[in-house]
Amino acid sequence: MHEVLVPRLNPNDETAILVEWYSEPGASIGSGDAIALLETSKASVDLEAEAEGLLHIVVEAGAEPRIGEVIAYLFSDEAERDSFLKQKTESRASDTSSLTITKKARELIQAHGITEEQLLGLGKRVIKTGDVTRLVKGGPAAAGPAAAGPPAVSAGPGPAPADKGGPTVALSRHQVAVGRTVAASHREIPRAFVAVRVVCDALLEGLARASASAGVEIGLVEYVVRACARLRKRHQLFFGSLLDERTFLPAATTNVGITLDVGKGLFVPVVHDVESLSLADVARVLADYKFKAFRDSFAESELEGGSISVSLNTDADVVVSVPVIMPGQIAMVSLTAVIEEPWIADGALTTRKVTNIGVAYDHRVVNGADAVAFCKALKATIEKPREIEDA
Amino acid sequence: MTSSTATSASAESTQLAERVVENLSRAHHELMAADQSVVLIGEDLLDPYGGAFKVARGLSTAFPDRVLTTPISEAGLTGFAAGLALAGQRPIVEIMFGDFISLAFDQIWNFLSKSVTMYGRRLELNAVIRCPVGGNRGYGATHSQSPQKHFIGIPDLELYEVSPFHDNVPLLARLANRGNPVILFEDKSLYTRRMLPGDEVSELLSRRLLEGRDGDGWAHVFIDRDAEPDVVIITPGGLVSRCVDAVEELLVEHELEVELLVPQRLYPFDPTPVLPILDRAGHVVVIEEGTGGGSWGTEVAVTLYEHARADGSSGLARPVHRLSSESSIIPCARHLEQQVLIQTADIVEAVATLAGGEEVEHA
Repeated sequence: MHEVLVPRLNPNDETAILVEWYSEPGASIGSGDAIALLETSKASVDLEAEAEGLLHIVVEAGAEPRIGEVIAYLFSDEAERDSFLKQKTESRASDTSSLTITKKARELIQAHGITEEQLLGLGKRVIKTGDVTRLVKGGPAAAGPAAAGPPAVSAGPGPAPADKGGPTVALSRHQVAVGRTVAASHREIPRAFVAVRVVCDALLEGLARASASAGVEIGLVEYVVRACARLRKRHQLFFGSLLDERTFLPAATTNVGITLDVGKGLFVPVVHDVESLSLADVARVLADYKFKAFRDSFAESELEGGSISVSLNTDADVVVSVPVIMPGQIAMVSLTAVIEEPWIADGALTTRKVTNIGVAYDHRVVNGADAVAFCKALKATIEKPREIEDA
Repeated sequence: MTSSTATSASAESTQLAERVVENLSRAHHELMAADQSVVLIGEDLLDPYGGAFKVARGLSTAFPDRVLTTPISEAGLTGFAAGLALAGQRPIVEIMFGDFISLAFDQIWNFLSKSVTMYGRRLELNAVIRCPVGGNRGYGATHSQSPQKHFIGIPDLELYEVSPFHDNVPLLARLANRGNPVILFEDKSLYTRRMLPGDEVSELLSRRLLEGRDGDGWAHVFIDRDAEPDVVIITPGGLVSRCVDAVEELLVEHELEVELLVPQRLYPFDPTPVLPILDRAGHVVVIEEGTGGGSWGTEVAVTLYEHARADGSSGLARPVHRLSSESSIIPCARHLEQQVLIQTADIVEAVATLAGGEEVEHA
């Protein structure tokens, strides 16, 4: 069974109008089919099915469901649909849905075995603790057997009272998707990690000059993305996918994913074909991606095709961060904060800028020595920046 | 194949209320059709764009001579409107983002509002300055603020705020004939939401409208009209949906009965119609989205203090509590913005702490 939800179509609307269903109830839907027309305050949008199945409509055309509300189900066959509907009818028969019952009152109702009839008999729309207490104390009509026994026993063998650990929090759809990806990585990829210390004064000075002449902000992140293209030839096992136990598929181009989280959830958009880009090009692509992460407006193609990724945790004071490798890749480079440290040069006390750069790697494909070599190569391009190209 | 058992419960609600922006737009259309002296002035108003938030949509087509799109100069366009008002027209000014009303402050303070009284005798003068305000849309530090407090206490300048409870059609017509200039604040988060024209606010909440002096009404939102509420919240229209959500959560999670009072006119603040309700309340809380300190909330609290009672049982006998946003610039990133601007969860926490949500009736 697949739930059809109203997606978030823009940041300002909490609801969308369900203008029209394109298919009849019971119709067989293919994944990717347009099944309904949704209208927000800004635009009309076709809703595409994310799975295939038999359509069962829950919210009729003309209504205005909330973002995230279930408006239909897609069932794999009629048997699944019928059993789901039967279950739903049964559970509906036994709830007091017309009443609003406060959390504390609900606990008391469970503890004392108060019946639905007793609650409805109060003739109130809102049931509070005081109402239940009166029922428990036994108004003339309310002397049920449960009221006599100690509450802990009369609760019976049912499930433990709800909310044991306080209120729960529903994760966003986006976070659920992130959860699936990282869980798959954790299941499949035996990961190891190594980090090296990198001095970056010279590079940062060079990048500041390059930024000024290119008119776009070029930092360590942009430089590392660009450097990946130079590293691929000599460290090809870090760029590509493991097809099966014995087979590694090297990447044909350097496509570098980059972790971005600006409060809309984690995205890993991919800078494609880095070989063909200048440092300034990379900077422009990343600037565009930051904007898209903020607007949650990535195209599918911008999130696909990575051959390696870079994880950013560059907030001040972050000294180490061990990333989760993207399923289908071998490695994720980890960048942390640049920190100023005291240093003695030619017998005189001075300061220098350092950072820790690491790589998390799939140990089925590469080993510690390979990873150290990879990191040292990256370190070398940073500490002795040969060319800060024609940015 | 069995036939569908889709519920038809939602089909009843096919008649959806207007969105707030549609209601405001209609208010302009009806007023401009009825009154030739009404002129709309602002930036980017012409069709097909129809203004940044689309309130002006269709107006330049219907009234091409009376919709004036101007260069980006709030001082210039407001001064121009003030001159028209002085000459007997009824200008409506649309400030694109309320943050930039600061550029028109001199025109409003030293020219428009003073013109009512500085020529030796009272001069009836009509002008409405419409001002989109508020955040929660990720627009950042200079497109998200709530500048209401900077206009409180200016002689002959009245402040109003759009609420989903009050129809803007009669409101705009009334403000355009007010006899003195007014600022109408419009919370941007309201535009895409729907008006709440009926007595039912939600499954749980009802509302009634209270008449005040000069037709300035209040909306009163309650669970049970006869109950003695633990807390009464006074808040402008822009915070209605956050407060409605908080009221429902406070009942279910904390067993607190909370009511809302939403005035149409923010300043001058006249609590007369709602004093009996405040008198029945356990506590009174004033909530605003702007920053605290010399604010509308302060003005409300001080005005209520003048009605304070000596006996200890009434909401008017206890300190009035104020809630506002953090004293900070408003970040652009949504998760940070939510930490700065007042949210439903902040209201729930503050009210539950104030009213001691743990007190339950033990027999």
